[in-house]
Amino acid sequence: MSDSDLFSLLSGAERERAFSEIYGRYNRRVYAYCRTILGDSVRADDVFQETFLSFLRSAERGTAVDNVLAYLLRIARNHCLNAKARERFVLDSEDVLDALSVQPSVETDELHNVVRIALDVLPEHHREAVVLQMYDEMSYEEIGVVMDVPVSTVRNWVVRGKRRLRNVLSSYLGTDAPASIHQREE
Amino acid sequence: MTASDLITIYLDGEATDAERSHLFEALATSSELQREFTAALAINTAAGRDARGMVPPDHVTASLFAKAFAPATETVVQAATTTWSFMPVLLLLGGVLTGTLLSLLTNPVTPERNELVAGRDANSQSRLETSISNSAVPDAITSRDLHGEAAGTRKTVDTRTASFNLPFVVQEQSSSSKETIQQPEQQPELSFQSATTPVVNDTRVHMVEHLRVVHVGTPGVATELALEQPLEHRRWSVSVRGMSTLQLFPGRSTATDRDMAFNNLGLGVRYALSEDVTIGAEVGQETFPVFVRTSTGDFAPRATLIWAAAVGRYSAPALPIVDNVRPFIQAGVGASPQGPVGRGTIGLSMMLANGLSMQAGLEATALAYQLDGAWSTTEKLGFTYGLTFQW
Repeated sequence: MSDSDLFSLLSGAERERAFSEIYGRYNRRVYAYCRTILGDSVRADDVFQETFLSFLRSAERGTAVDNVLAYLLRIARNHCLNAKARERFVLDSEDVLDALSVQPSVETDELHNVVRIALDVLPEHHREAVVLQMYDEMSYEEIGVVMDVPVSTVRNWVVRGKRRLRNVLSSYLGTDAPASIHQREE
Repeated sequence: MTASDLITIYLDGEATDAERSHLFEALATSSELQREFTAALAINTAAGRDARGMVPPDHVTASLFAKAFAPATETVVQAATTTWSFMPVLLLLGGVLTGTLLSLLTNPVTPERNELVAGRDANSQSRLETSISNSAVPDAITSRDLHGEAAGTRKTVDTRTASFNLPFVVQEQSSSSKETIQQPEQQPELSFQSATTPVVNDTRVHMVEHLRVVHVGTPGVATELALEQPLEHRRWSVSVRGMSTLQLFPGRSTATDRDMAFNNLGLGVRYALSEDVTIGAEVGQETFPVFVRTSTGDFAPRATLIWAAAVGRYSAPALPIVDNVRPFIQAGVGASPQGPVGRGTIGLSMMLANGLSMQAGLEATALAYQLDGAWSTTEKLGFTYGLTFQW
């Protein structure tokens, strides 16, 4: 059964079954987005639940949706932005860089943790675009739908974000930094 | 766009043919770019692996589904009230069962009555019912033991035959008259005979297979009676039954149940401690309004659970108007992978043929399970129906 068929069932008698099916398909990708954007697992758990609850209520109101995953991630993005707006604490880039100044290693098991930390260095839009691309495996076009920006903008954000990411992680990965890690993005 | 940027575009699967060619040419001549490519690939791989390891915890999923499909506040209150209404019933049934078992253990019951039904011909059937104590062959059978008015006296007793001069009651049932009781003018001779084992020993009458009623004073007139359902021969039984959900508590839709083919199936084995009490075990599978993660990582909103339970059943005497139908109550306590299960049943059992009976009744089921570290319960009310074979 297609996503669209399941979405249409969400407002009917079989809503529970349809919701369960959609949840089974996309819970990991939505959760990965929330965890990566918010970092804190408790807040991510809350936002993750709010996302699916909002999604269900929206479906019950009869909202028209073409791309269920993109729609879910848009909701998740809004909730994440709200959660971050409520957060007074802002992580300084220098703190992140200090956190990364560990003994260089290329252990893959550690690398994914370091990558997640390094994402905090990126400007907000760049980070969102990079997370959607790397963690949710979305195309630039799909990311544009989620973030409501043109594909060219997404391409620009992803390229700049990943360039910055590689710079930040250059010492960790044992590669020469092609640009200063303190270089400000335009 | 630099060659470094093209690495990102290429690894993201968004590069055009021209961009791809440009990147490959640059990679062929720049070792620095090659190292950057390797680093970019490592970052992408690490992020992808990280994403695949991010799974919402079970308690988050369970909490989400509970929030998503919880009934309205008023219904929650009502459901909560209803939820516990089954508990007293289950406790009552459990108490009855426990008390019955204890009484059986402290005071074993022996069969008190053998019902003997005459052979039938096309137009009528004769029935002789006697209630002979099995604890010992009585010297005198009182009216309490006999469905009649008068008493009799034991005439002879040996290892194979017990004969009595007894009055008896003949209940004739014909196609025209429902039931007529006739009292014979002369007392017949009533005798027990056994083809296999002695009928009488010092403690009890057993293995009675035939009863011969000889009409005294009417030579040549006799009625052969066959023992119906000797209790000693039908201790074990197996049963198969289905269950149809009538109502779930807290209030939930059962709409999705229709997709499950063989839903709510139960198999049981029981042993008769007496004519009225049986104990045994049942296993089955049944759906409950809970949410569990399946082996594939999906979530089943109404989980089909395997359960097993110890059961006890008390069967009341046959109904006065339909003597092959007996009411019963049954209680069971057991377990499922999600938590303990309790069930209570009240229904009717109808004897269909030799050893085969049919049951139908109402069943209340309660499942206790853990949600977010706290115990919760869910209840069902359903209709159960099945067949039992005794041997």
